[in-house]
Amino acid sequence: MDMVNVKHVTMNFRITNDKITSLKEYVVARMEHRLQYKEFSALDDISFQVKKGEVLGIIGKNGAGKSTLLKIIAGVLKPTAGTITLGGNVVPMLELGSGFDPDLSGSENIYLNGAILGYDKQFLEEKYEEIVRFSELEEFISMAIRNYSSGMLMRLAFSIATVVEPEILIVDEILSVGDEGFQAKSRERMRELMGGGTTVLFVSHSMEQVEEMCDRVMWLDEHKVRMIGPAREVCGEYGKYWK
Amino acid sequence: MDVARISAVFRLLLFYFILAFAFWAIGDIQIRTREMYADMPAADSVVGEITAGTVIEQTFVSGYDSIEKFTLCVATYARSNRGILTVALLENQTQEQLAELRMDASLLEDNSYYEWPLETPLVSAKGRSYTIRVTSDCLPGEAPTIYCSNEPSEDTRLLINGADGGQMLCFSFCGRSVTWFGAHYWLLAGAGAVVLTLYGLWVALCERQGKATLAGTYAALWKRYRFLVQQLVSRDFKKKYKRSLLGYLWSFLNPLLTMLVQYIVFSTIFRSDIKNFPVYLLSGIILFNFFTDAVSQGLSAIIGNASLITKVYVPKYIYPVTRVISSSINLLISILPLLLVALLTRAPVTKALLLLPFALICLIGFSIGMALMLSSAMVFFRDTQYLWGIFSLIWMYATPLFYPETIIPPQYRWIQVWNPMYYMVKFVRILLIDGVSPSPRLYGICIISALASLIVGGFVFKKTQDRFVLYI
Repeated sequence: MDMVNVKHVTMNFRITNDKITSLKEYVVARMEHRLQYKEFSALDDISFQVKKGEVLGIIGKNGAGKSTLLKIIAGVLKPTAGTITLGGNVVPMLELGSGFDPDLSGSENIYLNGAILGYDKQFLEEKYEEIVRFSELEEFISMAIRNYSSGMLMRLAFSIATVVEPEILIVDEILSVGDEGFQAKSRERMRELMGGGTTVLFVSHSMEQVEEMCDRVMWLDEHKVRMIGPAREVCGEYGKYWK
Repeated sequence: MDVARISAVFRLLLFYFILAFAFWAIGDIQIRTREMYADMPAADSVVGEITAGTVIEQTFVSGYDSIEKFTLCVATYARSNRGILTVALLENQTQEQLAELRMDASLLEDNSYYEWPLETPLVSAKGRSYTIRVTSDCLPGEAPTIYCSNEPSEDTRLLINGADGGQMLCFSFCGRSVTWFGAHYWLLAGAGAVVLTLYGLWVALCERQGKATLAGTYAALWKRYRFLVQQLVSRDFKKKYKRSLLGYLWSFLNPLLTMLVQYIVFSTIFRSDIKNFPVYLLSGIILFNFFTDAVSQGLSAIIGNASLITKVYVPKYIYPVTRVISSSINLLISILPLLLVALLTRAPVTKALLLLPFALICLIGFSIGMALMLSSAMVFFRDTQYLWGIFSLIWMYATPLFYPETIIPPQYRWIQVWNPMYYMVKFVRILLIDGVSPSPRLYGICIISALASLIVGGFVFKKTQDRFVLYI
């Protein structure tokens, strides 16, 4: 069963010469006839499927379209053309700090962030202890998170995102934060999730990690799929490309 | 089959009828009838000294359903008089005396209107003929008089000591007449109930067949995002007064202190023109502050939550809407000092206060619409917040918050006529200061303003929301 089915997805942006964010700039640009639009294709006819429980790594140069693709799968961006069919709920693992409010305490943030990720109240109340325990933040949980270190924030974010056993998890450069101990623990948790049938889309620049975690890897180059196949094979080719 | 769905429709209907009945009872005569005023005829001459033995009889036919007050145009010949004028009101068919007024001649002012509010209004007066009979015990040389007009209106006759001079007493009366809305209220309510029942059954039917309906979709959305809305609102609320000593008390104190300052500044200028100036001021301040606060908060909701919007899919309107809801909680807290001041100034506390939620809901709806529109404009043009800052200031001065609405000259009346905030504030003031329900027209204007704002705001937001991610 395909959990993620991406068919002929194309994403075009219409970009102006400069990004216009004020009325004055708009009027001035309009009057000087500088307001030319340029079509820019971030993704060009991408198609792939991911099966249930599979871990797909996505690699490629900066600007190849990896993040755009993840945004489209998360439902944040609408593709210009093509369709996406998802077989379950998507939980994106949020970047450091986004979705957190620095003025609120750790426990308040667990509820806030959980609500943003679509969990309901009862579920969060049941899992609260587990989240706190996993993040190892018991002593700091009632402290405003403005005082947390980035490692602590990451641990909290990871704990909240993975407690749910989502059907589709989107991970964008995340596992490199935290100390050795937590890194090992989070890798363990990821393996558990994958064993439990979670489909993972995983973006990273660390080939080591990709090879270790992923079943298959998709290499995006110049907004197109350059290669898709078993992790070792694609990573090998990708390594050669850089040499 | 489907007992649960049928009973849900039934409960909805019951709730609807309770509301319809409550509105009928609370709105009272203000929603069923309209105030009517007869014009005062031109004062051409006088009926002559009204001395002992003189009988002035004015007959007229009431065009209104009820009569509440008479006004007579009196004169004293610019001297001080003595004695009592007796004014009696008679029903012509039965010759029954309905009311009597004893006017002290020494207290009358020259060339003035004398108002006679009836203790019990005349009901079902329409089409009936009445007589106002004026007699007196004054001596010649110290008797007042009443103006009369040489152009009598239809169905009136003035007899001075039994002689008909083809004139008419300078008098007018005001009362109430049942409006179309009032006469057809239950018919309208019934029609609403039928529509509601049919729609409810249709939704139930669609749900059983697994078809999506608008109501079903919204119910599902609400169920799914209720917790998120609650969390976002509680975050806004917790943050608002975080690390402030008095905390939530500020929601209470802020409008009160603003009112105090404005009261001190403006009371000498406008006080005499306005009934219950403290409540007048405070209601305007609280409602308008809520409006500007809610819209300013909502305005930055999309760009403020940029990091989330680019990562997680949540219906984007949730962000501006929750900001407005957070401000609404603040509004509810500020209503307390308003009620307190109303009590202290002996404003009439009546059942009309129960209509306050209606005004607040309309105001919140209006603010949500504005917030949706401006938050989406803000994504594309960051100038929006500065423009709104200036625009809201102009808007504030254009709304009669601390000045009487009558000081606007007639040629600028459009400023008020096209200002939804003016009507919302007026609505609340009528409830608090007069203690009665506003007219159906004001209800209509408030609902239409709120709906128009929601529809326009929602439309703009929906049209632009897919492009937000590219600009934030």
